[in-house]
Amino acid sequence: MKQNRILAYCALAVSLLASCKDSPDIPETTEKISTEYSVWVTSTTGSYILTTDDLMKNTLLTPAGNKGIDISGYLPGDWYGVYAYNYQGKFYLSNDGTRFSQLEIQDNATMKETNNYAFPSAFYLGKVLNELNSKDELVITKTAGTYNAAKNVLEQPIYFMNVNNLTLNKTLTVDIPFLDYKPLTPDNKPYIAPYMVPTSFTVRSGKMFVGHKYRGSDGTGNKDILDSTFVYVCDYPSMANGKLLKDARGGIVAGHWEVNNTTFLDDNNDLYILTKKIGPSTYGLVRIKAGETEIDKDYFFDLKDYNVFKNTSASTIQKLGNGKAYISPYVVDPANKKITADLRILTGGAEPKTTMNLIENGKLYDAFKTDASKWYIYEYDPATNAVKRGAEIDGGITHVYHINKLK
Amino acid sequence: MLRSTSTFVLLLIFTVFTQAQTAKKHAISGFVKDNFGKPIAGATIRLNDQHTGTSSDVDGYYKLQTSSFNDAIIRVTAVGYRLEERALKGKFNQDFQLKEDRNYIEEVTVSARGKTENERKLAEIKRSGFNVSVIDMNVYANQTANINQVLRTAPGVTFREDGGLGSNFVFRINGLDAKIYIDGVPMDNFGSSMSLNNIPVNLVDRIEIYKGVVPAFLGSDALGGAVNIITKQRSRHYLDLSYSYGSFNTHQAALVGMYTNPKSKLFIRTNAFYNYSDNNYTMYSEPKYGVVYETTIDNKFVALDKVKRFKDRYYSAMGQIEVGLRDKSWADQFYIGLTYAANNKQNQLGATINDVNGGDWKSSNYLMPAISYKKQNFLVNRLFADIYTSASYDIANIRDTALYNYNWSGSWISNPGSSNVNQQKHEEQKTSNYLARSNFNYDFDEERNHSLNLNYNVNTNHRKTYDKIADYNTSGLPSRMTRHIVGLSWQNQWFNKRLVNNIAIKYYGLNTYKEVDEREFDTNNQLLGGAIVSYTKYFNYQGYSVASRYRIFRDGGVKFSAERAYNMPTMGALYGDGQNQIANWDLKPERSDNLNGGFYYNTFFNDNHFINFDISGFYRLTKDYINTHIVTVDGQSKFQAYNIPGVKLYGAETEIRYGYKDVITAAVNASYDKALDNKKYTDDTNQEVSLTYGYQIPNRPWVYGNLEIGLAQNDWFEKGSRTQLSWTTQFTRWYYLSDSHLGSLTSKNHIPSQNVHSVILTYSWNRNQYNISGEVRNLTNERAYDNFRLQKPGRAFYIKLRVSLM
Repeated sequence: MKQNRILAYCALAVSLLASCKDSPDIPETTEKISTEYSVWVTSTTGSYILTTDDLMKNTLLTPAGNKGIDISGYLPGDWYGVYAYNYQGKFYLSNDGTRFSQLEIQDNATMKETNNYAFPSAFYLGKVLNELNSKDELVITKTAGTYNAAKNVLEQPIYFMNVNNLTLNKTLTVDIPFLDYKPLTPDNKPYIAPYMVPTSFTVRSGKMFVGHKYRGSDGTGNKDILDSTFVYVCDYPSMANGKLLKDARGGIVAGHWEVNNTTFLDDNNDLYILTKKIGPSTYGLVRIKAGETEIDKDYFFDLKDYNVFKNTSASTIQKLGNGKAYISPYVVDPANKKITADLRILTGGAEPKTTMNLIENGKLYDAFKTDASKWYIYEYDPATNAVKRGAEIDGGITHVYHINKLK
Repeated sequence: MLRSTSTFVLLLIFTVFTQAQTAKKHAISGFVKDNFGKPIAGATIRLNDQHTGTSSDVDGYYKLQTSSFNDAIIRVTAVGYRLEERALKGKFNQDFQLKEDRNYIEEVTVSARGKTENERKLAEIKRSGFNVSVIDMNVYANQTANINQVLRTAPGVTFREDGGLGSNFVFRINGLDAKIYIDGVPMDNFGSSMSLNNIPVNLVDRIEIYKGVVPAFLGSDALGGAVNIITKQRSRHYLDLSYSYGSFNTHQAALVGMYTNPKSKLFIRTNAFYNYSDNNYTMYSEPKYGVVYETTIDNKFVALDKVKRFKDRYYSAMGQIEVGLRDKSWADQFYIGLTYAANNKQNQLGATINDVNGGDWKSSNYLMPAISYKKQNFLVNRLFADIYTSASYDIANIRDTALYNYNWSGSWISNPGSSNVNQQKHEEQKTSNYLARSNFNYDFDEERNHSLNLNYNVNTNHRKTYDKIADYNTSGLPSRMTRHIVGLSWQNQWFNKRLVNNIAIKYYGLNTYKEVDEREFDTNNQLLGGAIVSYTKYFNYQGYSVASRYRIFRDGGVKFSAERAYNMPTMGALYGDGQNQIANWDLKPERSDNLNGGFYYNTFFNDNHFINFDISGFYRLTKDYINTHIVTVDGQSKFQAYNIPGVKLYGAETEIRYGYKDVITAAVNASYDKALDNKKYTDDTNQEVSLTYGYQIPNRPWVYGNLEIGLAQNDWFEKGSRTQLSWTTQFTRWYYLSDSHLGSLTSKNHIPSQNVHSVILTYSWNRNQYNISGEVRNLTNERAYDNFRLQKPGRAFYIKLRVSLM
């Protein structure tokens, strides 16, 4: 009798436990979120996409209070945001070495993988060839090509990805020649295992320009070496008739593997390439004029007196129109070698902090952090050379990787 | 080594059988237990017409030599129990079940005289101010389990594994990294040979779980709790052999043997175990839990409903022998021991399910000589000395020489690196460990109203790692860690032992050292630059604690303890394990200010029912809380320890136990365990408020509980048999993988709630000498996870045979 009673109590306890839900309570009708704009932020513990219908709205963008979308599960580490690209409102991510994902922000505050492509071998998203992109096709490269020792070239594939079904329409390969000599350290010793990093791809009038740099170790770790601008030029799409351009004035072609651009075409179709001196980390611009395939020997815009990218890693360079471009935090007039605005001054001393800023309707949107540790999105209008403060971003975040338009 | 162990085992079996046969002719033997089937240690057994007598041991077992017994009456007395006597009537086996004497008011006075060390310690624990619970492992002796499976059912304890038998684990008590000891010796000392996940239950007598303040005699940097595993020690002949077989080709065998020469008091003790499992269990895609196993078809990742683990085999074996003397004028116990262990663990997964390794494994061989000396009345009366020293040598090979990894369909895939093949890896780690532990306890009086305990523990780990592929001759640089812990405690009793206090101070010293090869060579192996650089750090701290217990009722009272304590980083956390854990040289010791309180009450009804009730709570402020996170290194997911600057922990737990005679036991416990980020600002100017300040630390269980029911029937089929049915349920409430308040709930991953049920049916006969049991673990095939996406085994069946000869 007693045993039966005990058993009955225990069965009741087990049933109560079994009736517990296996997952957290999530309201069935989730509040719809805006899918107009997004800001990709990281905190010390995760990565989040915060959305808004207006970047200029007086609002606080924060992941706190269960706002925004937790995307930490998609990323091996927070900094993998540098391998993400937003195209036509969708994010493209490569984060585990072979998987290329197309992701869409849903209005139920989730990010959903809408398609994927499995590369058979190593793939991390490198540069995007904006000039070749079309409505149905995204043209991308991977971070590191394959070194062909027999040909002494870096075989760098260029993928033409159909964004509707995420299949490859075609792949072209550009063979970027390695130097035919071994670079030496300042102590005249050979660098250990020097390698090439393509830092920019631009296609203009049937020519492809690949800016690249070399890295190697002098015994204390890998670093940028060969303080010269290297650009490989060849016919596009045949990839024939290549030649290597070299210029020692500005240093290496700025940038690294990640997706942001450090080159731009102005209204005249002149190609400007940001350069960086290795030692002092000062920047400059070199130019390849429209129709030319040589670096303009008469042009060099030395930015050594300006704190380009002082407090952030290199952010993407935006063409602003009317001959101007945004090289964070400056608005430059490259043709006339002038700085026309310093957004830090316009914003009252705030520092820019975004890797991938946004241009919409000719206006620039970038995130700045004020001296009081507050983050805001600012709108810069090149027509009026004025800024306007928009949404605040929670001060607890540590980095803004992207400002994007989703629709 | 194994051959000599086997020979010894055969000899021991022969001896014990011989003794058993002899016993039937010349001795009366049996068990003395209480009304609920619990052994009564220290009961006196006498024959009324003779002057012969003996006392029962920790199993309640006694053996009485006699020449004439037909007309004799045997009397059994035990403090706190009613006398029982009966006529022998020619029967050699006499078991007794004593009823508690409810008129016995005084708390049992524990005298060191006539007690084994185990008994003395157990009694000390019961009356101490420490918040301690004791698990009697003999109850679980027929389960196919390692001690982790039992330990995780205790309140306030979390044990998070990432796979099946032998898998990596994180063990915590009340949310803090708890230290583990085997017979008072820190488990770190045993390398990979002995761990919570490979020691079979049969080797262990009991487990003491300390929460909050840890006694100074354990002499380590335990913070917030500790577990002391007490292996089986008997002063008589004893042999326990068991073997089990079950799902996933799992084999587990254990042996415990003891022999003591009654005249010379020479004793030999041996422990051995063997574990093997393919761990090839099925894991299921569960999109609602964020778990999707995939393969690639036509350049697309495609989900698979289920996959099997493969290349995840584990085996471990350990043999231990101790030879010594006991009950000598110069030593209560002295022995020299030797432990040899070997294990081999394939490592199919790292910290996640993303990388499926094909040829990653770690093997190790371990040897440890040890010397132990214990003496009551050492040099002066009432001074107890416990001195232990050991040196161990561990050679581990960690290798992954497979060119490719696998996908979940079992096909190999190229490496995502530039060369498309895996970089081959083979490291050899040689670790030596020296431990010296001395503990002195002085009782100022026989009643032990005042005692002083001094403990000193020094432990040195020295590791050299050799890269056997890249450059064998230039690797092998040392890393070292030396730990000094000194503890002095004063235990005092007041108001007729109603109030017991323990006040202690501790010194912690940690010296770390490593050499790093920062040289770079060109392709011709010519030195380009850099040097071999030495790094060293020294930490020293002082801690203090007070633990009190006030007895309100005969068997009920309150407990309170407070402390400032430190937890030093482990070798693995500082220097990595070469496999799944990567080094964090910058890891700092963890400091915690702890408050603990509790209430306990035990009562009986009609002599046949008992109820135990315990409830306790804790509050901790922790600086540099040591936590573990996943980091990606060269595309591989690894664990790494790191510090969270400030964490506030609080929680409570309760347990109720009920028993009816020795036929019904039921226990239920529940634990609530919160850890909040307590570091407000993220910058030096106190302007940036952390997004996680005041919120719960994610990815840790915080509500969990256990249910345990046992039903037994004695003397079915034959006299002296016992049939037992046990049911256990482990419950863990869901928890978020990342901060619960950041980001929408719909976008968050979580580890689901789980109810894991297990059933065990055991049949024992010939008074527990022979046992057979069948076990179904995870009966309902619950999707069980301790870590995100790393599913643990589903339903599994085991059968176990056990012979226990006294």
